[in-house]
Amino acid sequence: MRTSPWQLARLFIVYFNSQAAIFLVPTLLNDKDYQGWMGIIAGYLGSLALLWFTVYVVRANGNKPWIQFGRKLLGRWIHGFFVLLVLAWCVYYTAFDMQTFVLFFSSNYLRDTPPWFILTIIGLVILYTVTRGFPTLVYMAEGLFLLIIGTMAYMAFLFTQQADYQMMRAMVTSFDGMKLMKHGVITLSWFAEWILLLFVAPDLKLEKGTFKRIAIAETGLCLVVLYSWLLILMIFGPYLGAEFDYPYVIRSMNTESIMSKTAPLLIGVWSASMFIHSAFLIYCAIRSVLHFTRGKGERLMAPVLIGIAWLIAYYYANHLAIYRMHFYSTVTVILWIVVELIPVYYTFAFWFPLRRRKTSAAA
Amino acid sequence: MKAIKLAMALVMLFGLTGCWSRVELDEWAFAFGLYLDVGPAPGTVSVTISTPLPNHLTSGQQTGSSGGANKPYAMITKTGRTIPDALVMIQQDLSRQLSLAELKVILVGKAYAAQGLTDLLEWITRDPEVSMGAFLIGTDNVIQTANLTPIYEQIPSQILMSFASERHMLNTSARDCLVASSYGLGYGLTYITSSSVPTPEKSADGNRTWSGINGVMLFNKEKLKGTLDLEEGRSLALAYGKLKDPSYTIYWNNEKSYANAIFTKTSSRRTVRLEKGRPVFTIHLKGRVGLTTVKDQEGRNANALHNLILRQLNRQIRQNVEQALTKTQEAGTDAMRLGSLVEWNYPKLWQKLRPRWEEAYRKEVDIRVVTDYTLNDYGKQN
Repeated sequence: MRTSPWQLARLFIVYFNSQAAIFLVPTLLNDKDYQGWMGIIAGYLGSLALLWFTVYVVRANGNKPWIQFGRKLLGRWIHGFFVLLVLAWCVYYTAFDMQTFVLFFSSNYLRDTPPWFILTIIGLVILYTVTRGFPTLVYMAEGLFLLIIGTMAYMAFLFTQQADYQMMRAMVTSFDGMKLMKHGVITLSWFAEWILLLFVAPDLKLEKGTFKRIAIAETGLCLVVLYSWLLILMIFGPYLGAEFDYPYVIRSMNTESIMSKTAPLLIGVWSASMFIHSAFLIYCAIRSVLHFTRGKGERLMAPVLIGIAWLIAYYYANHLAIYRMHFYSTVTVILWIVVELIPVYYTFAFWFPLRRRKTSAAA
Repeated sequence: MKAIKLAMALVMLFGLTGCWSRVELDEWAFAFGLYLDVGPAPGTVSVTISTPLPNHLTSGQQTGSSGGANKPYAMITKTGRTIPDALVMIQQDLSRQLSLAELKVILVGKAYAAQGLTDLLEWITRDPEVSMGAFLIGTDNVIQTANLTPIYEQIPSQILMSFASERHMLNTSARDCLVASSYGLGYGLTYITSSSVPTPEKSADGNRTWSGINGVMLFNKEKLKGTLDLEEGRSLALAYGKLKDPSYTIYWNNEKSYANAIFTKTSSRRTVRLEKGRPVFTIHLKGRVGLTTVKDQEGRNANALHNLILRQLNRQIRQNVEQALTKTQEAGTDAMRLGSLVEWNYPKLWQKLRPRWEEAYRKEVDIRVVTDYTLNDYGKQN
């Protein structure tokens, strides 16, 4: 595939924009306070550290796919466990994505359409995107990146019109250390899915400037999330803002304002980023499962994994309270962080290679 | 394989364009206005929707001229225990699918307002179809206001919406009410009253229903707490920075001399500071003014007149705004959301004040008004 230095950075902006910039904000507002910005910055700094570990461990192992080099570092069983964990995480995350679609579209544009049908259509779109391969994903992200930047600039226009700037004073007059820690950890769980970088080889290489470029992209993402958080806070306040899921906010504008007319465009861009997000996850899940099947049955894997995600999402579609409980639960945050710390485990294994020392000692 | 891919693409196209739940444009009935009042039985709400009738909206037709069966809009009223109940009953009698996605204005009757807007706001928060950008307006008589004569427009709801969107008084939206309520603060709604006025043309009984802005309704904890008259309402809107192109007439020499000032730019800012542990609010009003009429019996020179007019104007506006805010304090309604300033600047104090803010706003709060208007247009004369 044709590659360029900033490709990965753009891909990750699109990838994170679909989730972090959209769903992290209501989570941060759940505490009904004004200090979410500190949590966002703390989470961002943590995610930069994890990014460094990820890039380091991939480059230190010759830019090979993690599936291959991981076994040498941690051994067959432990590596197998982590691959299985990543596989489950990817499928589960895709199920969340699919249910998010159902939740939003079935309450707005497709009210009479049954969830199973929306899920099936989404599943087919993800399936088609995945079967086109990783390069297609990257190229699609390139186009979407431009649209995202455009819509963000447009949202800024809205922001300046309706925001109550006097509220900004509250961002420095209240501080709670426990809340800062909590928000930091939550933000980290959304910001640090660098584990997916372990799957981009051999299509893309993590070169010398990769960390810097992705870190710049991450800084941009941090600003986007900060901006989204401020937008909701200053337009709705911390109490009302905590009650809405982000896409609904777009539909809550003054009916006469031009913003209300462009809701389909903004939602369209968000939807397309979600497809990239899900397709990337399923792509990584396929790579993980092929580790266990020794490369056999590749063509079957995408439909099977999407089918499992479909079943989970269908369950959630019919049990909304459980979905919300799981989506915003502490256990989910911890699970996400455990997965996101995988590059750190492997980096330590690379620095302190117990197995090789034993081998050399025996020799 | 190609055929399968093509079939998949087609299925996606049909599905993603919403063909499953499609309703053609001519199968919809779009409600532009929603009018609420108490129902005849206790605990019920009377809901009226106003929808345009496209088949009666003909181009070239004189606005406001259609009457009787040729009205370009329809109004349907039903009563239910809740708003959604009444809407379901309206839907049952409609040949078209009712859509609230284009709802632009919600009119609440005085009796309904006195009972409280909690149910209305809860419904707006929950139902994804209803926009939180819809304007809320209060009225003394829902039926008469809903049937106002739409001069210049074709549908009464367009007039009501213009009252808000053109900022003739407050332009309070459902979102504004929800935000204020979420803080535990009050809000104001433009108050419209109706009366029968004689008209020379096409009069069966010689009268037409005339609805116009007549003040502001004050709400706290979603309940109607009082009203401001027209002048007080305009002052509150000015203090809020929501009044568009306001004008003032100022008098001196025992009202023998006067000048009419029109504002070309206005802005307002609220600040708070603590004095002896109590919050003191200051409303800073600023703007540019032009003159449209000047009559000075003493024939002062331009400089003296300039200073006099500015002094009088600043004093009059300050007094009017202070009077309006005193009225809101008497009603225990923090319609300017001043309490939020305490939360943002003094969060610990707000934690103590919030549970009893209504009482504190009424008795313990000091509100000052500072004006800074400049005169930069004398009109055609120098």
